[in-house]
Amino acid sequence: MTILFKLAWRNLWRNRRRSLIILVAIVVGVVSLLFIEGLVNGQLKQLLENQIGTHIGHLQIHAKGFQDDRTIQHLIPDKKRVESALRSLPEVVAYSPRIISFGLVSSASASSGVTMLGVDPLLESRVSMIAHSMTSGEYLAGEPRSIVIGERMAEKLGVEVGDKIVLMASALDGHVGSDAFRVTGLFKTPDSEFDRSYVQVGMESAQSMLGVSDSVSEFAVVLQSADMAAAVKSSVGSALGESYEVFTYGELIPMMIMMIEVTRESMGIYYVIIGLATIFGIINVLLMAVFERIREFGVVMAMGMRSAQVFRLILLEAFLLGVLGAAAGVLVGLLVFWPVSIQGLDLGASAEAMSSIGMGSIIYPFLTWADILKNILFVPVVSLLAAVYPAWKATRLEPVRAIRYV
Amino acid sequence: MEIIKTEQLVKTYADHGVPVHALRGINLSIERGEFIAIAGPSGSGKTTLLNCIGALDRPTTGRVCVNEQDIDLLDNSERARLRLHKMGFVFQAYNLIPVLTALENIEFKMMLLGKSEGERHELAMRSMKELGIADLAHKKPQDMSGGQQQRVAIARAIVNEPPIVLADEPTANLDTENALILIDLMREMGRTKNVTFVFSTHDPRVLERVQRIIFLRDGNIADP
Repeated sequence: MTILFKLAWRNLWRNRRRSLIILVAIVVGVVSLLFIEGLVNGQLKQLLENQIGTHIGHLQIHAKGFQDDRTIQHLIPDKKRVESALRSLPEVVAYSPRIISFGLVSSASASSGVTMLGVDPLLESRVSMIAHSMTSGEYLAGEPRSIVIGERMAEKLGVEVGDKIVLMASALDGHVGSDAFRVTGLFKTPDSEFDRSYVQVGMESAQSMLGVSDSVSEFAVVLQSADMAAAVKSSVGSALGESYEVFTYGELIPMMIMMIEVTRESMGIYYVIIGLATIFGIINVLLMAVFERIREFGVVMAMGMRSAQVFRLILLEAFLLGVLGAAAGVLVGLLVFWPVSIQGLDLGASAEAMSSIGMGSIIYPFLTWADILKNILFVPVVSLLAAVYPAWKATRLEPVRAIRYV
Repeated sequence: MEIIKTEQLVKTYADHGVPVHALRGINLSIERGEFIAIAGPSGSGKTTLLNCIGALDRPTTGRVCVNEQDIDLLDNSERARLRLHKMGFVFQAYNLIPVLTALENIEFKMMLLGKSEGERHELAMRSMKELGIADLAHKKPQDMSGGQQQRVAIARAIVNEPPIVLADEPTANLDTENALILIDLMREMGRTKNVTFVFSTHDPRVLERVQRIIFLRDGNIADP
């Protein structure tokens, strides 16, 4: 350990109480940043996973033009070719073919606009969370003309499991196809809008009602990781050719992706606020430390210590303060954070509002190594910035006057 | 060999707008290895003269030469380098760094000189042994007496064997016994290491032990 380091370290503890107060302030700042960062991470992850898990998937494959004109007429030209392409890719974990149409669902007492998804129950259960979100009854069990609907829609229609409802939607030939379905189950996802507007029926029942024989409108695909979406899109697109269109989840829900980006970037505001508070705290402490040691600086400058070395000494003191504060802050932050990240943070009071934007009421905050590293680096850097002014003040001292300072 | 020379050294400064003539044309020549006291009553200009010689203060007019170099021509960084390499300082109030031990205080100067850790330690310990304070190596200033602290300050000043040591009232805070011991130590160090000691004092007991006395009165050299 060099003398300069020893000097800087011991200078930190000359006024123990003052150093401890600023350290506590830094720790509180770091813990707050970690907590906010973790909470935002948890919220955004849940938001995205819920969107992907309810119906989006990581990729969607349609016939060309479907995304702009989501009608029953845009059917996948060759279902088997798509299945073959997807099976050949190791990144693909699961896929589900769907027939999609838009129409009206009616009970004896009410009716509502609806997006109808005709699905293969087994394949769909590997892609979306609906099968695992049943709150009563059961998921599509293979019986013809069975339907699962969201709890919200059931409330709106005034129906329960076992009741009959009538579904009407545009058929391939331009007429309105309709059929009666028995509600076999109700689901509740974290996205109340989805629960209010989507229903799932068996593939054959849907195809029969819409007159599309064995055709489908969409393949929803789940990959090993969301990060693979762009690469797999490219592979699938090349394999299928121009009669198809392939979209990543980012292209399917661009507003949400933008919102996530904006939210992440807005974290910078917290860093600025806490950074400024830390800077002023450290400036205050270091200025007091410099004024208390004017005579000492005069002596070492008289001995031959150059202004640049005095400057570095004060920066080193600030840096040590920052490193100590960051280390303590991250340690305390993780200790506080760890149980919350496991048990989750129940935001029950805001459950309704959160559900409307596709989030559950329990958030599981999490931190990445990058977040922790960012905080470990942030405070020492801020401390160094804060030390510039007091260090500059010290270098302006004239040894001949500083020595006589009382 | 002349190591310090002043020519018509004048220092005037303002005290609340009133000009104070601290030095009024000092001509001085000091040889290498001399043991010199600058004496005179309070306000006679002793400390100002030491500050000008030590490149801590700039003269209003006149010249200070160290090793035949006009030090007023040096910029602040060069003056700091000159002080570090060519001079040692001892202050009335000892002025050791309170958070460092005696040994570290001495090593600190060696660090400024860019010496390696091993060399720092070896030279600092040798210096402490020469001054009979090796047993204080790991004590901090607050755990030492005034006399002990001043010995550490002298060890710090001479550790790199500079040609000049300047001391401002080094015995003022010491009792008679410690003051005389300290002066004898400084004289011995000056003799064995060929170091020029220039110190200010108005202590008659100390003046009896020096080679030469430069007596100042009202900023001028005067007869004692």
